[in-house]
Amino acid sequence: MTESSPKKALYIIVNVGFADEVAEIMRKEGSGGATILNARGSGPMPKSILGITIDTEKEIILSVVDEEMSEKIIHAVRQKAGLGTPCNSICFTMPVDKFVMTHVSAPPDGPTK
Amino acid sequence: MMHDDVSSCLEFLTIIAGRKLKDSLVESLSSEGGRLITVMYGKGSVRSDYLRDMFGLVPEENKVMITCLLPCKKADAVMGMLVSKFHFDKPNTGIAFTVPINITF
Repeated sequence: MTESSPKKALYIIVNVGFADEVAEIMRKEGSGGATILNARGSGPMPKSILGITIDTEKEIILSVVDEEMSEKIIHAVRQKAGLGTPCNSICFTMPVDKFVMTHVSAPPDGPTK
Repeated sequence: MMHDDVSSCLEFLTIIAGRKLKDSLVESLSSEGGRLITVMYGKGSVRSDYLRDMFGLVPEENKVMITCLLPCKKADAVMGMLVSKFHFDKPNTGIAFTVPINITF
């Protein structure tokens, strides 16, 4: 991993219970690790039963990876756990400006830009 | 409409660390100029049972994710603070990154 390669914050939203499966796919593609957050989905037409709104439970997987690796991971997740599968994964990336992390060598004079 | 006291250049900072650092991180971010600080709880993707079996050691599985808005000119100082005060350059401490923000109001 080079210092100059641009980093991406990779977010993957999956149905609850499938985060470990997707994390395993990411690991096989070379991702160092990820953080899993609990969330709930809110569709455009929420289901309501007896006045109680039923939301879908979701999990968000967040990892900071190289741009090249993010494309590999998104491709693998789309193949193995994409829309239409029980995981129903949605992936997107955001550009990382500055970062501090241990498995990326940062320059000695401060955080990587 | 841009609010008068909001900087025109902002970064969205995300910090992921062990939960025991939550209070000190929030306090430090607040004093360094972080605004709209939000705390969420999560867990690492590490398979702790595997690590426990193999080494008898497990890094903290429970994590806290803290997000906040920072003026661009303060981002470097905050990242430096995370390294000097919280040792984010060492393994099993935490990670932090910023994402540029286009529009605020």
